[in-house]
Amino acid sequence: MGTYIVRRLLLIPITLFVITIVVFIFMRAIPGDAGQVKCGAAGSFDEVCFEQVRKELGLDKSLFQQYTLWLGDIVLRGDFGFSPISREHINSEIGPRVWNTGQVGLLSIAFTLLIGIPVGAISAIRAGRPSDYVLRFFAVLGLSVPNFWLATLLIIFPAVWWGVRIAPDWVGWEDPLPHLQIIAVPAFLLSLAGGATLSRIVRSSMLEVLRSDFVRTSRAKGLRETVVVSRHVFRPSMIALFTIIGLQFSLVLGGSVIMESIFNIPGMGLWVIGAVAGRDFIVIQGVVVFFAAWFLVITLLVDVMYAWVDPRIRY
Amino acid sequence: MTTAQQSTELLELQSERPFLVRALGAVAHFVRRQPLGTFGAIVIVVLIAGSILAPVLNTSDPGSSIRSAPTLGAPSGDHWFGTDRSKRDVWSRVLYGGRPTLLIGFGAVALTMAVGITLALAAGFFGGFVDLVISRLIEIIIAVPAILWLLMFTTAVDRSVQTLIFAVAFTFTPITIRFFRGNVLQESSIAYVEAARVIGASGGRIMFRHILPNVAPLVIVAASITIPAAMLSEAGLTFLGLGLEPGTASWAQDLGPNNRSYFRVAWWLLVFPGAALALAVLAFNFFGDSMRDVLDPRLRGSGLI
Amino acid sequence: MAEGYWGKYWRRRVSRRRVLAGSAAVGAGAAALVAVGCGDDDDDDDSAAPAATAAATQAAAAEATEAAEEAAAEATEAAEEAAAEATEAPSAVQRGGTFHHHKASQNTTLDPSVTVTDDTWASLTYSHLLGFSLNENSAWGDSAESWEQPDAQTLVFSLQDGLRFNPDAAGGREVTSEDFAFSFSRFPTSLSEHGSEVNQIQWGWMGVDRGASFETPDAKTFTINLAFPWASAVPSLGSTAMAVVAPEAVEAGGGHLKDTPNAGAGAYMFEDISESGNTYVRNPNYAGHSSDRGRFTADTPLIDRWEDAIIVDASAREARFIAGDSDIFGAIDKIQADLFANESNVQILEGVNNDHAIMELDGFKWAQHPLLREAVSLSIDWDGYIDVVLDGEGIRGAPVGPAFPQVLSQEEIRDLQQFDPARARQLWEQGGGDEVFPDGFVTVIATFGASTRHIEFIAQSIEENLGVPTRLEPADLANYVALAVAPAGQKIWHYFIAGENSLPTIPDYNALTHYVPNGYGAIFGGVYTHEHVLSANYPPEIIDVTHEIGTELQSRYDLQGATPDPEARTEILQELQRYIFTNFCCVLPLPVGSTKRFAIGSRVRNAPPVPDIENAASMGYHRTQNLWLEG
Repeated sequence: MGTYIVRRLLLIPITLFVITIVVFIFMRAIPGDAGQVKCGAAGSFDEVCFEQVRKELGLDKSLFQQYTLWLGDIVLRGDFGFSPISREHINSEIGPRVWNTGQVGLLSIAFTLLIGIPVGAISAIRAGRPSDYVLRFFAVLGLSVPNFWLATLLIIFPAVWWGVRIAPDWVGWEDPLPHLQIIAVPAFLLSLAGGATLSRIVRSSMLEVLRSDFVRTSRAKGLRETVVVSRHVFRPSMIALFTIIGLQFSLVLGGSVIMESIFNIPGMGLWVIGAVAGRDFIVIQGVVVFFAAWFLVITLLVDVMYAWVDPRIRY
Repeated sequence: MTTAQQSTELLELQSERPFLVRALGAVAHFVRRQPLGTFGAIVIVVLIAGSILAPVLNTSDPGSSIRSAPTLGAPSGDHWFGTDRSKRDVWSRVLYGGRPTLLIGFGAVALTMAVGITLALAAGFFGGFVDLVISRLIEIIIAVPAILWLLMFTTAVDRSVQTLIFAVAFTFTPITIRFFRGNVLQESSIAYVEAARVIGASGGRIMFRHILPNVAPLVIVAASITIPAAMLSEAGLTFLGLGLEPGTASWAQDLGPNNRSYFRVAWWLLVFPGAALALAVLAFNFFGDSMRDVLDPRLRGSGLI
Repeated sequence: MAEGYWGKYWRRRVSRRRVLAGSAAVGAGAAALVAVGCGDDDDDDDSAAPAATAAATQAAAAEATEAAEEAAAEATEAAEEAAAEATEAPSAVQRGGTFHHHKASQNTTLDPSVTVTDDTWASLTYSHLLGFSLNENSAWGDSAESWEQPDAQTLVFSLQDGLRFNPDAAGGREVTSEDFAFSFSRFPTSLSEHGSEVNQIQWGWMGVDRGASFETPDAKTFTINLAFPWASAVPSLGSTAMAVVAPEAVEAGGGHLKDTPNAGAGAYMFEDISESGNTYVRNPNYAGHSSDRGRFTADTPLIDRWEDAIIVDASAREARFIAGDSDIFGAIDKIQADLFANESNVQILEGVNNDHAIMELDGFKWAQHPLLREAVSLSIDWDGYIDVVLDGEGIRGAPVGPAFPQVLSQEEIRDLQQFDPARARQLWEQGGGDEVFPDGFVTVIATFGASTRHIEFIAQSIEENLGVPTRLEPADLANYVALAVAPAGQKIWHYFIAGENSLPTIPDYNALTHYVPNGYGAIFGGVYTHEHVLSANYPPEIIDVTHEIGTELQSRYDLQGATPDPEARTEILQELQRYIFTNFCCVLPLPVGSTKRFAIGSRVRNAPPVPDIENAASMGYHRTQNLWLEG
């Protein structure tokens, strides 16, 4: 177990290193740069202006130099660089933005569990009966309806019908209630697909346990069905949760791009959309590397927890 | 359905009847046992037929404004799904709009299956260094959220259907490899592969003659659950304005900025493209679930993607 | 259509339609405007062009005939009546409150001399010599208390008392004429320092880089000596770029203000700038105005604070406005107006439209092919455009803006700009179009939420009637302008469709800057006058023809600017329009809507009429200090 963790930990930097190269190449392949954007947005196509902005941002150096400088700053000083568009250091901005995305993400994981576990459990216990079919139908529906479409409905219609905004302006925790309202809706929409997936996993793993010998035994020795289900079936099936929580973390990161731009949440997703529009390579590079590191660490944690919870698993 | 039933049914299917009869029997069996899957299959066939046959289904050029038509006209005999803000026929736009999305769904999945299976065979069979390299590759791709890969592709390359097919396939390949790698490993450990190895069959021969045919049915399962996911990721990207070229008639495009302001007066703009997209995804999901039940008893009802 | 299909069942609120009958006022205003233009023939006819800019210089009332004066007075009265009716005779003006504004993205610069895309912050935090009302065709003193024009090339301003910078700028000291001289002299520098050729249109008319000079005889007197006479000098001074900035702040910022907030003397100052938006509070040093014409107040503006939230998603912006959380929405079309009419949090102002829209042909690709240019113009279904894109409520556009009296008549435009697919195909064949453009056309389409219906319509029209397909190249905000202004020979597009962008900030509303080499004509259309620009980028065979067209356009344009006599100027302007229409090079005017609708929140009072309201330069809502909020 110990060597496994050490090996995984050693592989993370290697993976991240390759990702930095790939992302860097992608960024430099995008037509246009921050120089053209800064000058061009004001309507100028003046080489003098370009040169000046490029020099400021170090875009005049060779690609290799740019790459090593960028990576060197991250590795040696933990410095992700300076955004020419927002005129701020990425390090100072990344914290609040990760937290904003994280709040939505954590809440959406909570919703995922709240939707997935009961739906899956009921569906398993009542397998083959109409309620099972109805719940499974809704689970597939949850996987199928595009969340941006639902988000549009939620934004437009309450405002039109009742003059109510589902997603008011971002306020932060100074106003806890409005703030909860703001993050709850995107979190709920993000949790639909995950909740549907989770319910299907819970259902199948519970069914597997329900058919196992020890459940038959516990029934045979006269335990009440509720006890059988809650103690002997439900608990072992919950191991599947660890997989889905790990998966949900990466879904949240991806989903945040669309949800944050619709609901105007100043998180990582909105940042990256703005950065793509502004050819703000430094921000995109930073966000991608940060997301990747986040993902790698979370999956490692999930795997370790998984092994810890389920002693059958050995690495 | 018990295992005993299943095996007798399988035996029946494998009996020495002519191919056509056996195929029809399999379909009839599928229809009887999998009503939702059948529904999905029918919807898929209808949507594909609709987008291919669009020119003969009372449509007009989806980009062309009809001067005589009303602006934001409600569904009527002339315009079954109403008209949009530019006096264009929504029925035509929905039919033609299925083309890019379905094409990307099928194209990307075909590509990801081809690449995924090849790499999974290589990883599962050779193991060791090859496996290590492939699993690093998987981790590199999967560590970055798919939507970031997609928008990097569309901004760095272009927004053509081909690029989107490639980009979507790229993001789904790691999952495909993982799915097939497990199955390849499982097959490799079965006695007949050992036997083939013992009698001196080459690696390539074992892979393509023995393992691949046994893994092949799973392609249908993997494909039918990947297609809806692929379509949704294209739709999300297009909705953000970073996917398909603007001006192309497509479902996600028609849910975007050009129409969104008018959703509250023109329900047909909200419902028809949205329903077409959701229905396509739903149908593939139903079909995929059913195919999994039929073809991969080990995964039955697991809902694992 | 008028009632939402679910609305009738779901709506809980009582819908009150609050549409200002501003159109009546504007109609009267337009009449006054025409009267000023025509009745203004009592000037001296000295050819040396003293009072060159007479028509536009002094406040209209001072120079106009009595008839015009009357008409203007009527206009004001009508506007007041209309406003009074619409607001149900409010009891009293209320001070205080926060004005809620929204926008789609954060501004790219904080330097007023370079901004072209967002004028709210520049209008709020900076003050200008004057503003120019399109509705009244007259200037309003802002920092300038009064001004006079002793001759065609000289403008003398006397500044108000008590003008002071905000506390963050130059320690809040008094603003002097020296500061104006500094602010105006730095334009050419700000061009090379992250500046903009497009932006140059805002101040190029002064000729700062071509011999203009500024004098400051005393702290309260500021004199501009133009390099050449310019008929629209006074309106042009309303531009947001014409802000007075503190030299100390420019120096501290390293020669520019792109990262420096609060370097001005406006009524408000930045409180906070963040990713989620900007907030503004009163500038405590702001002294107010002596103007008694409305829009200004004698002391401070009535509203305490402004909040400008960044809302990325278009639907979210709309929801914010409908729910009453935004006090302003912006220009809307007829269909949206019908939708908004039922909302209780909305009032809609209507007036004449002063938009100008154009289709640019890249001169580098088109200059040598006059037949093909004409073919393209003939293949566009102009009336269909009005029908489909403008909901049947449009007029044919001309190179001169619709509010400008010298515009050609609709009949004449229809004659000059025809739709004739058969002839288009014939010319295309004759000019060898398929050989010249074997791969069809490319145009640029915005992906940042703006409607692209008009571009799709034109592309479709050309494809249907000429058989030439167009590829729509998507561009986000960043790339959009960069693609548009790419140097000659490097443009990826064959034609580029642009809505009006300069008029909100430049009240010189004749719109010709879009056609001439000293304006967008060079940047977009690729017609140049300067030989060196041409030879650097163009092959010799293109040089001759673009140079010829460019010189022709520029000389006629310069001539009208330097022509004092209104009738003579009209003559030149109309000939210039005909030249542009028959030459098809390299900018084609597009039809525009005949009515402008502007949506604001129902609690906003004293909003200026349309089209003034949306133009920062014309004393729009951003600069209206007696704006107040009810309740």
